[in-house]
Amino acid sequence: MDSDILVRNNVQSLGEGKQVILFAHGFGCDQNMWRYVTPAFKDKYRIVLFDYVGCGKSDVKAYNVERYATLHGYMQDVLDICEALNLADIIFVGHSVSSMIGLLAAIERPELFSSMIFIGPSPRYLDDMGYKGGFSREDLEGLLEVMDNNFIGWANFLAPVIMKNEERPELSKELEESFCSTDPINTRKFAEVTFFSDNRHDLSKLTMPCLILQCTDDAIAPDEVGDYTHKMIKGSTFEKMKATGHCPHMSHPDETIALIQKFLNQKVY
Amino acid sequence: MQLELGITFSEKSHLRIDDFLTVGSRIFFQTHFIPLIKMRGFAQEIYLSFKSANGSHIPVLLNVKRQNNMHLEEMHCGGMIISNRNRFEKELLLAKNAAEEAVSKNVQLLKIRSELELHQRELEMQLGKLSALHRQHQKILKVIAHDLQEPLRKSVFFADLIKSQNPELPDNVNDKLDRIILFNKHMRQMVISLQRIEELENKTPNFQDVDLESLIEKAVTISEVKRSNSDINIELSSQFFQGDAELLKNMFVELFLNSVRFINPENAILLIQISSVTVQRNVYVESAERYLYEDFIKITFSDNGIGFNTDSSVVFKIFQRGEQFDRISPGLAYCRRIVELHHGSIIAKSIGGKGAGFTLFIPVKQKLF
Repeated sequence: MDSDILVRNNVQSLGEGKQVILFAHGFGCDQNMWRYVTPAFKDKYRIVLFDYVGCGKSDVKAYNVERYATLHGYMQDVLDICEALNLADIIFVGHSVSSMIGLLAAIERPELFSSMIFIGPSPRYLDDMGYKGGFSREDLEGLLEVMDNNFIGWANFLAPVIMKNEERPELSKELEESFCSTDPINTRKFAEVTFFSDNRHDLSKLTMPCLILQCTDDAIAPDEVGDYTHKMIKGSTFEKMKATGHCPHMSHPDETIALIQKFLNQKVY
Repeated sequence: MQLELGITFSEKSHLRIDDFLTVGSRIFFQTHFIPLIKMRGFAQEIYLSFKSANGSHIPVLLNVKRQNNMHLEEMHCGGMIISNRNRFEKELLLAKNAAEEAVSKNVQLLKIRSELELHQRELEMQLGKLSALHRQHQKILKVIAHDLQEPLRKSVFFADLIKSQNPELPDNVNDKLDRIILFNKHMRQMVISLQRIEELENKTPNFQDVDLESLIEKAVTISEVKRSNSDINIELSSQFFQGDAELLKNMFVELFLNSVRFINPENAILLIQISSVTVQRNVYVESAERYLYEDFIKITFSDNGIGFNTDSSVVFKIFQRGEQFDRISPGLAYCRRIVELHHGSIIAKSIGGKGAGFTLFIPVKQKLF
């Protein structure tokens, strides 16, 4: 059962330290996106990386439409991994939607985690009365359309059924070589779950140290959203980054590392 | 590639490629395109939709290569406008989505139908087993609860009678009689607890909207917990849910009584901490591979009493043996039964000497449909 989960979520452990940092990738990619920041933490920490079911090199067969219809299914992936590896006192680093997945995990099992680090978090992407998430429903429908158009050519031969086909090894080899390979059908569902979720009422339930990293000119999680998240999580630390875009851990790894280290060194246990 | 967007560069001074994209394309660009370029160095046949000055959308298929030039990273793009092709593709997509939906609905329906039949038969067998067990259980409980009361009462009565008619009994005989009376009283207490549990089995809970705060207030009054030197700290971040007000109140009374019963004499004051929060949990506990996340109210109740050293499963058992008979109240079995009637769960956690802690999960809504 436990080893099943490690295979299911393609869990990788590295590093020499004792305290665990669990890195959770965001929508659109997989654990590879952490490769520029993990080396800086390898000596002092134990690093745990994984792919959510339906992403990267996870076991596509484990995808359950009902389970992954809400962020809780993804939260269950995180908790399953913590249990399989018997982790405790975890520093959770989540990018983008993984911030909210981590938040849910920390509310469900607060005893497992010691602190939360959110990179570009957004509790709700859609605009609402008195709330600016940055996107309208039409915008997000547009994203789904772009995804459909991108996947039209290869959706059919990448469909999960054929991906399990042993008779076409060149296919799996190609997948291994490609980064952020994703199953298009699951990815589309992940997009819907991510961009139509609303976790605003969960923010105030977090009861542990929390760092929010907000990029400059982030098209996915704009400044107002970062401010809102910071305001709603009592006692959270807010850092506005010089890094631009939505993936500072890939585009500006040095600044990302420095801010995470600063936060971790400040914490008094 | 030359793309006429109709935007003159003087209009905006500082422009990035995603400023020219539709919002949907911009999200895709940030979440898929950038990671791909950063890590692999190239991307092929990426569909993006550009936005022209007059608001029209221009679908483009792009190939991109990253080139490191001194300190600068350059992205070299080549591509073509696919307006016409895109129109066909859109039609194809619509047809494909419709076909996929039909297939998946059909597959799902067939699967559900066969699962349902299987479940129906399993359920039938389980129900048969369950009702036999239930009848037996009821009978035993009834025998214990009612038929044991009378002989116990009589034993106490006769022991008292012997004592009152023989004032000159030697001390050792008197001691033994006192012990007989004490054991019998313990036993009666337990029988009464059993009787309450038995009554629960025949009760259909009356679910209505309840307020946790007022439930606790009532239970505090009834249990008279404040007569002990106590401090009750209540922090409710959620308090409204559906349940049987009477049963839940009784449950809290039982929890308070349990805390009072097991006060740690080393502490000057009895501290009780109650908090609540709404969490989402999978309602399917017994069914594997089924997921439906719904709101549960999570209530934690802890005290600084003497606690217990056994695990959660033992605490809630109706019958306790040996030293645990004195240590653990049979009332906790009653609490668990009430939580179960609410389709919830209760976990006990304690470190001996450091107090008892209970965590309850109760669905916020009780009505199924």
